[in-house]
Amino acid sequence: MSEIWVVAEVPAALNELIAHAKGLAEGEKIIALTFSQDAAQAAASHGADRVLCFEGGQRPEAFVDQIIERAQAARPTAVLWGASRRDKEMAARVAAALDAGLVSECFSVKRNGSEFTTERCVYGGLCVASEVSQAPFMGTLTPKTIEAPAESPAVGIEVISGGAEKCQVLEMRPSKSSSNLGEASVVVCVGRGVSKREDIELARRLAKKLDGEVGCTRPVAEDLHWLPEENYIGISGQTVKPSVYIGIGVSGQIQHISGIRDSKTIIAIEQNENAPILEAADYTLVGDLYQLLPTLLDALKA
Amino acid sequence: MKIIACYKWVLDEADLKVEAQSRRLLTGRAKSKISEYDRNALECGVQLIDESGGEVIALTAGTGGAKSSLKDALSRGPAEAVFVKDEIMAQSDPAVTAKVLAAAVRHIGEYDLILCGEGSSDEYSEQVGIRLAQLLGIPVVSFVNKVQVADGVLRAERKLDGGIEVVQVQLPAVVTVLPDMNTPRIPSLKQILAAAKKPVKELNLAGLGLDQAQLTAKVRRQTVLGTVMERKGIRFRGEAREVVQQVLTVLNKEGLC
Ligand SMILES: Cc1cc2nc3c(=O)[nH]c(=O)nc-3n(C[C@H](O)[C@H](O)[C@H](O)COP(=O)(O)OP(=O)(O)OC[C@H]3O[C@@H](n4cnc5c(N)ncnc54)[C@H](O)[C@@H]3O)c2cc1C
Repeated sequence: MSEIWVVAEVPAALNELIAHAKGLAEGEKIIALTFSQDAAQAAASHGADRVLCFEGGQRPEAFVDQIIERAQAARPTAVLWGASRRDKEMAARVAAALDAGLVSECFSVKRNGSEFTTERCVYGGLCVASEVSQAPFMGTLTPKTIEAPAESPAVGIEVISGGAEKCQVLEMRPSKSSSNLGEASVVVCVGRGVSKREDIELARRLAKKLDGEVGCTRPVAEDLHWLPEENYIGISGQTVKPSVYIGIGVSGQIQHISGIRDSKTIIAIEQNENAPILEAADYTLVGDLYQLLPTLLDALKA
Repeated sequence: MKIIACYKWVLDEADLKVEAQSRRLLTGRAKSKISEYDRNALECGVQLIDESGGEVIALTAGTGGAKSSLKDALSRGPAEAVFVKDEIMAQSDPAVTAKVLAAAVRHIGEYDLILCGEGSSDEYSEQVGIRLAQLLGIPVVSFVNKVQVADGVLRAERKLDGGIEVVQVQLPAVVTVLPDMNTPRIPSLKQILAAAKKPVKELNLAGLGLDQAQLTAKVRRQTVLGTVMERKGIRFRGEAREVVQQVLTVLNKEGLC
């Protein structure tokens, strides 16, 4: 066991994993497993000692059997996976085949010899679980928990072809919209307390005036489809870290709060004083949003 | 078509509290429930059967406490339930749970489709359904929000980070479902009463041929502590104009107006 593997479908995740691997390595070489030339080149020029590029499959999952075989032969000390859904599927399949543990969405990994200690969120983000695994360690790692390493002289890329599987991909429809919520300095969040689709305009006006972005809770995106799914905030959606977050008719269930925890100031407009958002907020405007929000917009001349 | 829908009996996270000083998790007052996404899995199974005939078996592995889940699960439409009961499930990790479910599925025997929630609302490891497929040596289609079955072929839409992937695969297979797959039914009184008469098969781990080594969790939990968030918790009440005046002062301090 003298290797640490990093595996992810996208280059940004791969580079972060290399940084994590560098922090954990005790003499092990860092091997990057990639599924596109872009990702292979990124890994090759950001500190991986060896880069494999699996090519010719319809999708990364087509190489799971090959990864399992290689892992059985090489017995890496640790395999660090990205946290995209493809990465998660591959990780769980490889872990099952090797009868290995797998810690999901770790935001921190520390090592002491053959012992790996991880931290991750449980109960919708209410708690952090600290857990210990013995090598061989496997984990999917939350993105943006480390700086990517600086560029370094590139190593060569070994191309591996093949990729067979029983699933047949019929179509891939790339998502059109993307969201800037993660970088926004002000986030105005629409909750189900907003009773009509047109009223999102009120949130838009506020966001525009404050130079911010509009986000929403999950039901506003997934049940009502009033805003694109890329706009919902929380443990299963976007994580935001603005200087000011303003929730409008947001009750503040734990799964939503997990996504706004790193906001500097949290403001809520909420009529129910028992809603959990009041405990998570710095300031709550208690009352009917249909009175408070127009008054606020007037006062701001928004 | 024979469908196995797996579910986990979990603490309702809405009832959980954290003790501010010690950051200890307080579970004393918490009720249990069928994990949210597993309800979508059960619903998905029942809808497929409504369309093309067959039956759904609800499968759960848990401690004795999970017995109370059976009636709830059965009132959602499955014809029978299989309950693997062992106190060891309290210390299980995804590796162990998947092995237990795989053994139970082999015990059930014939099946066309296995449905699991994409992750559980307590641990949310998003692994069990995927591991289960691997252990059974059948394909998995993960993170699905649309399915169709015709002539033994499953067609599904996976919601991935980069977009929607449409895949097709020959059954048997495992599908892990997302919450926007469907809206789980709220059982009627009649369905709840009928559930009490449906068959339940109880299994134990020794009977499934699983030994201690297979049942030892790979990941050992050290602590579970509440996440801390220091907030001011100030409430502005009164006339809209006064309330707004106070928040303007806050926005002004932030340099926003
Ligand atoms: C496993 C799991 C994962 C989840 N992940 C996420 C996630 O990532 N993101 C997410 O957002 N949710 C998530 N959820 C859902 C979450 O639990 C809540 O259901 C959701 O966040 C609630 O959305 P809401 O606040 O918009 O709606 P509600 O809970 O319905 O709240 C609406 C609020 O508006 C207030 N209100 C109504 N009318 C007015 C008015 N006129 N003036 C002022 N206030 C008013 C009400 O008092 C209420 O508090 C998840 C759930 C589960 C089980």
